[in-house]
Amino acid sequence: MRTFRPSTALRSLGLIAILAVAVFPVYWMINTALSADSELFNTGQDLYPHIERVGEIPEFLSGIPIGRWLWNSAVIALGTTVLSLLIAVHAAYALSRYRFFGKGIAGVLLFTTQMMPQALILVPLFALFSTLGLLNNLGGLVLANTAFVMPVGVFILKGAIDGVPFEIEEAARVDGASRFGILSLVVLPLIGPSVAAAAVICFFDGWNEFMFANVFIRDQALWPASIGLSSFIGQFYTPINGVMIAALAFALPAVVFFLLMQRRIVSGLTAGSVKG
Amino acid sequence: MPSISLRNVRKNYGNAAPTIAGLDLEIEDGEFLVLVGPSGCGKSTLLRMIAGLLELDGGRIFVDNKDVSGLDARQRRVAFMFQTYALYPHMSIEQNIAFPLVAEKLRWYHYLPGISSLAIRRFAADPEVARRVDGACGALDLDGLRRQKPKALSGGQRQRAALARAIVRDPSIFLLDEPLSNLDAKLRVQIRSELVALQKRLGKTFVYVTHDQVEAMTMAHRVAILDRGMLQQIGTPQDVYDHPANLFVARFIGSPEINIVSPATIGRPDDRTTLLGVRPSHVNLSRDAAAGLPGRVVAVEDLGAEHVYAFTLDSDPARTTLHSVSHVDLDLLPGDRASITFDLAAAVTFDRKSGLRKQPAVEEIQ
Repeated sequence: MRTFRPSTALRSLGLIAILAVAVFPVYWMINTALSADSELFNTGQDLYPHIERVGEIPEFLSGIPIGRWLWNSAVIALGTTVLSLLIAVHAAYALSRYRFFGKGIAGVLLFTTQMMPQALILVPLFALFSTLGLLNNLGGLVLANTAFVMPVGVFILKGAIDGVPFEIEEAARVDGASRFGILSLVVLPLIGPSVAAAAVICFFDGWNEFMFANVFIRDQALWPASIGLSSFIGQFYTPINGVMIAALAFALPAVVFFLLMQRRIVSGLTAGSVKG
Repeated sequence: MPSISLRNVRKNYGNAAPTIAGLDLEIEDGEFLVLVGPSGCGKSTLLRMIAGLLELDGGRIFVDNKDVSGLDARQRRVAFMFQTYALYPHMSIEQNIAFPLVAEKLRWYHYLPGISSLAIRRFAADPEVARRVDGACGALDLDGLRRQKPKALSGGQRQRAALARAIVRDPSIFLLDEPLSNLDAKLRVQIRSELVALQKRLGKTFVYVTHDQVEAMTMAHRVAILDRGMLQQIGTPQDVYDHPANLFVARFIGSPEINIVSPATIGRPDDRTTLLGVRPSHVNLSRDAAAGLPGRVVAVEDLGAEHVYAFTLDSDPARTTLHSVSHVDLDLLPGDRASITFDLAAAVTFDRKSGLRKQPAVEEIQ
């Protein structure tokens, strides 16, 4: 039988308050997307969304190359994710399991990338990319993003690999697995949830990235959605509702990606330790 | 058939004293050898070096007179059982057991993510692999658990699954690292005898590491006692019990612990160079305070079939606690006066300085 407890009610109220703060901007984005210019700039926006204007959304989207932008964003985000994880898994395994000269330095250097503002390296990177012909190139953006987000993946995965009992790897060695075999057949399946978590972080870093894309990409056909969105902002006029419609289209694939990954992350968290 | 021989094997973990400093050991073909010693004595390190999991810092290891020192674990083809069983948590019991057979068929491109699970499934379906997995499951009574994950199994079942994974490749050397220490007491006794029976049936060489001298005494053909990285003695259980090479071995083997008394305590004050070791079963306790050396009972343990008495001697200024085991209930309580006689014919004499056993026995005195 459930009994009413004031503390439970208070906690629920608190949670609702926090949730409201978190969700309201999303709601306002939808609301704004469904508002007319006249409301936004004259009478003020209604608190409830004008659902009847949903029909105008496809019309607006057909007027901009949103498909092209999202495709470019996806190439950058997935490229960053794959490349970062590929490097991070091996680096994390080495940092966790091997003793080698310069191990401490390697860890510190990886950490330094996280303390340095990206803007600091913008100009040198521009010069470098210009020399290498990586400007105006989605591959160049993947490289730049990977350099900054891969260390985060390394730290997440190193923590996870540290938690895999050493005896399981020894067992695999005795059973005849090679070093790569141990990593791919035994260690990776056991740290799956952490790989998923790292994948989410890498993906969103690539998907949301604005500054490098803004500086390195000149060709409009190569704009990712983050640049596309900002291009609405004009000197004299910004179609706020249009920006919000595009922003919704920009947010949707990311939400889908997160939901796909979320189940893996949560199942890993509830499954508990790998010791079983 | 495999005999293992360790010649001047060294392991250094970078501390001041080497973990293992130049150890020689000959393990015979088909032998059940138990490596026993207190924690930190280097017994697990030694086992991992035999397996190829740890590199040697010196010396050589030969299997069948072939130098295997430079070979990695996967090339030595030994079976290793871990204290924590080390089953692969993400694989079913069946896949766990098949893994050693599958692993040797894999090529590098099978390791790519996604392909690996397909490759494992394909190789596990191989009729020869399936036949051997069936055999191992049958031998260890795992047929009902084949599709379970290790998490769903009890400690004893995991133990059997780990054993099945060890025997499936039919290796000639089995290395076992404290495999029973995570089991409850009753199961431990049962699996102890099962392991002995298994070794007899397979006729393979077993090297078994434990810190439990009872396991060592009950399972071993020969016991090797290690302390601080050095081999103290190797011999049959009876031999190391009756003729311990030094004080450490005497104290380590046997429960309750052997009584070490100085000759002065038993009325020989002139003898300052030796110590006497008398097993508790060779100490006779009497209620008659005049029947021998007088003393006081400090503790009594009633084990049902036998009683363990702890007592101190009046003649011993340090009041060292000594033990006596008796099959009859003497009806003594802690604090009671009693007297003891040592059966000195069964006593072992040690050099006081070096701790080594002296060869000649002492004549019997009261």
